[in-house]
Amino acid sequence: MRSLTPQSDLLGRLISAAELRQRVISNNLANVNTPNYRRLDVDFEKQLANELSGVGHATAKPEVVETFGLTARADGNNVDIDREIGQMNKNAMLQQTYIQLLSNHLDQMRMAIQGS
Amino acid sequence: MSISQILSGMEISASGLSGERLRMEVAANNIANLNSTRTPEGGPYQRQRVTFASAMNQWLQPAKNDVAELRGVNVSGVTSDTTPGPMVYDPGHPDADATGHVRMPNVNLSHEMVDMVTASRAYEANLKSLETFRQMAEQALSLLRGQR
Repeated sequence: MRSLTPQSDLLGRLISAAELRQRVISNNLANVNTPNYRRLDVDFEKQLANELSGVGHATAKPEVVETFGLTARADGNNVDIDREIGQMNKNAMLQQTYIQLLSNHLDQMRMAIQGS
Repeated sequence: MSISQILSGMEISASGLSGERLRMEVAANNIANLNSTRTPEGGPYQRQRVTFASAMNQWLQPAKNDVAELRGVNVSGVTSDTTPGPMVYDPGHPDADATGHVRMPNVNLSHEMVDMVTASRAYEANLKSLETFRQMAEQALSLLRGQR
């Protein structure tokens, strides 16, 4: 899907990745007491950095991945509720930033169209 | 991200909320039956426990980025804890055996309290994520309104 300008295209992809991450984090929170559940996260920003710097030719796509290297509780679950809340706040803040940027961008476009 | 996706995101949190509420109810029921020595099935009350299962086990192997499969949590069942409860000496009790001992329920009050506190904290966390969903949807909608 291509938007009007590269900027709005990029911001749109970042916003949908942030929304996907929010879904993944709430899934982690809903499963905070599920035995053997493994925390999931979204991998997008690193891929996007590669795409933008031209390292890989692939188009970055948000991917749901397991997080490794966390200590699991006795029931095999490795979701830390405080960590999730922190990540969720950070993610919401990022989404807000992207929306703000996109909104500014759209305002600029509107100004250019109206010529005032 | 379509509106239906936002709603399904809220369903993830809702599944967590209802699961934690059930855990709370079961803990309250256990506490209420702390001294019940008679049940319809006979014998003392047995402590109930809720087990959860992630609603996406089938999803972990194949297509990892199929987001439609993030469904929150399922209550896989409420089971009885069959460990025998303590014997208490109380010869006047109608359910006392020949030696004057009564088999009490295997409910441990402190255990139930801990369960209740953790359920309530997890409930709060799910509520917080529901609220964040709402905020994010509102932010996205503000783009449509053409204001910040």
